[in-house]
Amino acid sequence: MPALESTSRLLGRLGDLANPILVKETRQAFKSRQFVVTFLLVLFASWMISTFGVLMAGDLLEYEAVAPGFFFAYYMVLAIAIFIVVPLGAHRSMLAERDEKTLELLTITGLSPRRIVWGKLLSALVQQFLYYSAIAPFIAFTSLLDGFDSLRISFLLTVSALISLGISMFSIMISTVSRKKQWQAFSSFTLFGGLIWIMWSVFAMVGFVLAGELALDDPDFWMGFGIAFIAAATYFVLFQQITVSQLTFEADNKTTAIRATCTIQFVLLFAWAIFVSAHPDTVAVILTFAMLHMGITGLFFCTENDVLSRRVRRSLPKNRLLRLLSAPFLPGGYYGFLYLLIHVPLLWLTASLLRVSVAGVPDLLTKFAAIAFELFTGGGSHWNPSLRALTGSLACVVIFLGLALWIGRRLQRIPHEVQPAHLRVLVVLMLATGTIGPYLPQLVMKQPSEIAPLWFITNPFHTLTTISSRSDPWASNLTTLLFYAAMGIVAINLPALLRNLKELLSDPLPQGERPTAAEAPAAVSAPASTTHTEGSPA
Amino acid sequence: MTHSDESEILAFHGDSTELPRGNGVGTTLADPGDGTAEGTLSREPVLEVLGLTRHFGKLKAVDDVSFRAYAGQVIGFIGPNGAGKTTAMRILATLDTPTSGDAFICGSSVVDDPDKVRKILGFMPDSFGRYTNMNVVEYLDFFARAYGYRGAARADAVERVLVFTELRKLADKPIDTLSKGMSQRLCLGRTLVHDPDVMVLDEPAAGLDPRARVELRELIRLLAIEMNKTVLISSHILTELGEICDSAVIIEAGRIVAQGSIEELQQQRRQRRQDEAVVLAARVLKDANRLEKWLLEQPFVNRVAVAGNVVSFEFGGNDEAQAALLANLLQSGFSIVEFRGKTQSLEDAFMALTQGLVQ
Repeated sequence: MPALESTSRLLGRLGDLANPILVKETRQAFKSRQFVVTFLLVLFASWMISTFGVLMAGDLLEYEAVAPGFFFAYYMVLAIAIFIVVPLGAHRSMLAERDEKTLELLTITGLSPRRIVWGKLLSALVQQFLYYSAIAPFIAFTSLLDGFDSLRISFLLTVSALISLGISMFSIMISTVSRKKQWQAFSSFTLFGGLIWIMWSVFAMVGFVLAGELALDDPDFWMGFGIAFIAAATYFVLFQQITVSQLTFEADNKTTAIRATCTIQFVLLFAWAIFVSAHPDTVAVILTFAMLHMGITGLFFCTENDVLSRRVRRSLPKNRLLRLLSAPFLPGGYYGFLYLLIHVPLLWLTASLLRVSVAGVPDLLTKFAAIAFELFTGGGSHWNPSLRALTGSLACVVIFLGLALWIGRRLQRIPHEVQPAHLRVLVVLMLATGTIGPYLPQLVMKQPSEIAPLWFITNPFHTLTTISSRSDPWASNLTTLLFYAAMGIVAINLPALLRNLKELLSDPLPQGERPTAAEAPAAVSAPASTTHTEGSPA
Repeated sequence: MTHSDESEILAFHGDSTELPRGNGVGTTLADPGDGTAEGTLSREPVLEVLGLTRHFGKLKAVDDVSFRAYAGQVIGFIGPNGAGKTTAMRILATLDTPTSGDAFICGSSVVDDPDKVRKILGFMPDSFGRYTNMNVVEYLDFFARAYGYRGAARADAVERVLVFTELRKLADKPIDTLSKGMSQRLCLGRTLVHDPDVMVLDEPAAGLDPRARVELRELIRLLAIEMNKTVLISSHILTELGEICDSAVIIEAGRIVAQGSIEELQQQRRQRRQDEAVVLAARVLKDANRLEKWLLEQPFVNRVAVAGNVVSFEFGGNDEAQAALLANLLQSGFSIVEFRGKTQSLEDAFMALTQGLVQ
């Protein structure tokens, strides 16, 4: 049996190359009751659908397009496995690694966090493949029936596999976010609800596609699908980076990969906005989304601890220019703020480029000059309400995050008390206080009078509503006021930011030098030799 | 370990240089850090902890801990609950980072080079790290894969561990059905699968029955003696540690209160408790009652009791006074068969050197 032996050797070699987590999880899955039961249930349910479907359809099988109905029924069975069982299994698997403290054992083996995450993900993919293979004979049976559209069904099965992989990634990420039992229980419960919601949404999509409502031969559809796919892919990468970061050793760089991924997302969003510049409403939606994304990611970036570990410092480029350029991507709140200060103007410039509406001014440079002048002076004739709203929103992002950074650094002088999570809560509290605060006097007034919009300046939602109004006389002045406030916040953080940059540039990068034995304090007695007495147990 | 490596170690066993082992009465050895050129050049510490500090908020879990260990040594890491042993061990295992200070394993920093450290360090935490639906050999195979072993090398590594831990006959048994003793053996095997130079074992004997404890102790002893591994081991069972450790580090409330060889620790105990009496006993051929009367006339002697030919008494003097007493005793014509003090264990030293501080 030389062929069998060589195949066995080949499989052995392939197994050697495989991710250890994948091998372990696959072995465990094949022995687990949950997998075996689910697999058998998928087979049994599909068999029942076939049997009863054929019995119920009767003669209709001969002259009616029954394939979509059969496929939908099989798909529902498959969907439970790939949208609920597989992602929840991936989630529980990672949670169990933490609960059983096996994650620590994996960490000290030298398996990189990325390999651990990919191992879990590939394991989910293998299980997904097995469920697909369970349903395959029934799909093959459906293909013999009238009304089977192979293109649509292939499209649906491919998209479903991608969605399942994406939500498995998200589920794994959620399992690493917190070590607190309460949060884990809450997140698992919420995730379960979310997965059911996703499954029902996919059912709606499948019904839509099977009904022929979706024109798969329309180039616009594929354009939209392509954009959605790229967006989903970037979030897949972002979730993976966050998960890897959660599993990364404390002294290592947990940030740069996440920030780089976010930058790619922003660039793609800007490119998309430019691509659809003929549709102002779409542009507004894209840029508003970019602003919100910037605000949320900025919240995490600006509240990081500022200390650069020796390990991170050793990995810095020796060239000072490269080091300066890498600064926005380095761990730390001030570098996070720098990241924000670079990306906010980029977003604003993109918006200005696309949304500027200055009648009678032909060239772009003059348009920018006019807008910039009015931004500083508070004029309003060249402003577009959307651009004003975006400017105000970005200013609010800079104000809240800059303020959190400034307050946070003062609080962190109380050693070991203020953690990044506290600062994030602080920002949320500031936002809530700023939003609710201006309404409180109205509660005690007997006859609420109209209060000037300036009173609501701390309420970003009220202020943004005012400044996006075409007719409100306060609109331009409030925008300028927010702009100046943002500049002021930048100014109070600037000295510390510059100090950080100066330290970064002048840092003599540590080379991992080790103190000599003579420098070491009192030691345990050392043997003169590694050898042992003859009487020692052998 | 390859066959040639084993041969080298066996060849080393013929060397006449002695290494103290266990029982607390070994010879005190020269410390290469004593400034002598020979010591500094000939031996580098395999494990070096320098000013290790770890704060959790206001709590100083580990506070400026420093010590060194050398190849082939077994170091006891002793302290009451909450003393900071596990925290320090987790830092050594690269599972946590120090607030300040550092530790070096074979010259690699646990903070700066955790990847290098992980290749040469085996950590056995106080929890098992159990996987479901997995048998013994699959468990070891998985960790061998995780450490990067491929093909025949992986099979060899697993087989070596199965033989060493004597788990061969349980290879196909699901790990969640193993007894506590066998689980600990498997844990030790997992820690050994990549043949590390340094092993950090956190409470390996906790919850084991006496037989399993003795067997585990023998395995640990073999690790140091046969495989020349440096073992840092924490345990609450101090009598056992005293039997397998060359040296000990006693930690309390995050700080080291004493360290050195077992002999040195006992010496420290004696120095600290000079004002307290020790119990001595003399066995004579005859004249036990005369010895009782004679002893009552000597300085520092109290509470003399006679039981047959053995006369025991409390002695409050220092070592010099004790030596003088023995000389006088012989000069006075007593037929002394045996003169001994109560054996001081590591437990005695621990109790004397710690104060039961809780953070």
